[in-house]
Amino acid sequence: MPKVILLYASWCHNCPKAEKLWRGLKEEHDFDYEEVDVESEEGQKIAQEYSVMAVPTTVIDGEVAFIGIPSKDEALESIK
Amino acid sequence: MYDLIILGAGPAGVTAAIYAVRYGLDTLLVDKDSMSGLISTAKTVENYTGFPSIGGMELMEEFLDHAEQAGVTFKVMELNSVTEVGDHFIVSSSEEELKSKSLIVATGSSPRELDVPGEKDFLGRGVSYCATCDGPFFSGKEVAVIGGGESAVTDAIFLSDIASKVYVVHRRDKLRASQILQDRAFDRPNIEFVWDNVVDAIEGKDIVGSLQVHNVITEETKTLPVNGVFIYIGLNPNTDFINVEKNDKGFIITDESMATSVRGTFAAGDCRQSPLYQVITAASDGAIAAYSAFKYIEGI
Repeated sequence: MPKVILLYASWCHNCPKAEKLWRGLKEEHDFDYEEVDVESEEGQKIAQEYSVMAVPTTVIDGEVAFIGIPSKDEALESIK
Repeated sequence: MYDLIILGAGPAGVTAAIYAVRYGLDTLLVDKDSMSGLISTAKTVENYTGFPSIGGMELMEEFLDHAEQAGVTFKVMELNSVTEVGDHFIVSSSEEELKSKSLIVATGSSPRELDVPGEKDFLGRGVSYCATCDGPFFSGKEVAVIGGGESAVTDAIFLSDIASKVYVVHRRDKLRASQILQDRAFDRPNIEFVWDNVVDAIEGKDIVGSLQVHNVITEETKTLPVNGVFIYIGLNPNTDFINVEKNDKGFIITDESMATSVRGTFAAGDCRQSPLYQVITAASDGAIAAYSAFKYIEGI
């Protein structure tokens, strides 16, 4: 099952759109999903590991899949 | 069949929708996002009449609230294609087809890329087109802003409160931004202007480490030790999907009634050729386009 991590931040006004997208997909499809605040300890670790300097960033199965917000079709394709 | 489908729910599309509903047109407003408009990424808007200072997202929320109160039907939909079929149009997503007698294209624009080595490689790892989105990652670091217009100078000022230093790299020796913004930027001790320079390459290892520029007059090259590069060099219209007359940069050509080269199709906002791209001009375009669509439907 794909593992999707969405990195977000409190200042990021685009992030709620990304959250809405992935939460919606989670209701219809089977995948592991976690939202991580980039300002948290875990978030900082992930940001450093993947050299993330932008939010929202989506990491799928250990690789940066999207920087910014993907379209619904793109997101669906990535979890197939 | 709808009387009118409006593609894009930024300031132009939302205004068009409000006017169209008030004219009694059976109208549908569509967008791939629940909140659109480039302006929603702006920290502060100070030149939309009636609002001396308001956040970009807050302003878009005001637009959307007004649309809801006016009875606008809004659908979040990923557009696949638009086809003209006889006297009407078919707007398709991967899930459905919608028919309409007329269209308003209000799909806006996207930030233009520099098209230099490193730009795509370092996207999200130091390269950004939105300071309000990504600025906090650069706290205490040195960054560069590329461009000399309103967005570039506004966000250079924004970044100067976060970064230790902001280089503004501009290909001329004069900014295009309004004087009030220029004065604010010139007053910031940690903003340095790199005049008459263009970007050659963005370099680094895991993240951006430096920016290579050269002077267009003297040909002198320079390396700026930055970890962030914020690019504001203009806009590309989101018009690839529609077959109407456009200028050489892809902006839709309209007459003063917002009519395009295709009967029943109108355009408004950042996607059309215009002398000025602002929220207020986009809203005005939207109102005129809706009025034109109304006259078209009524056969006036």
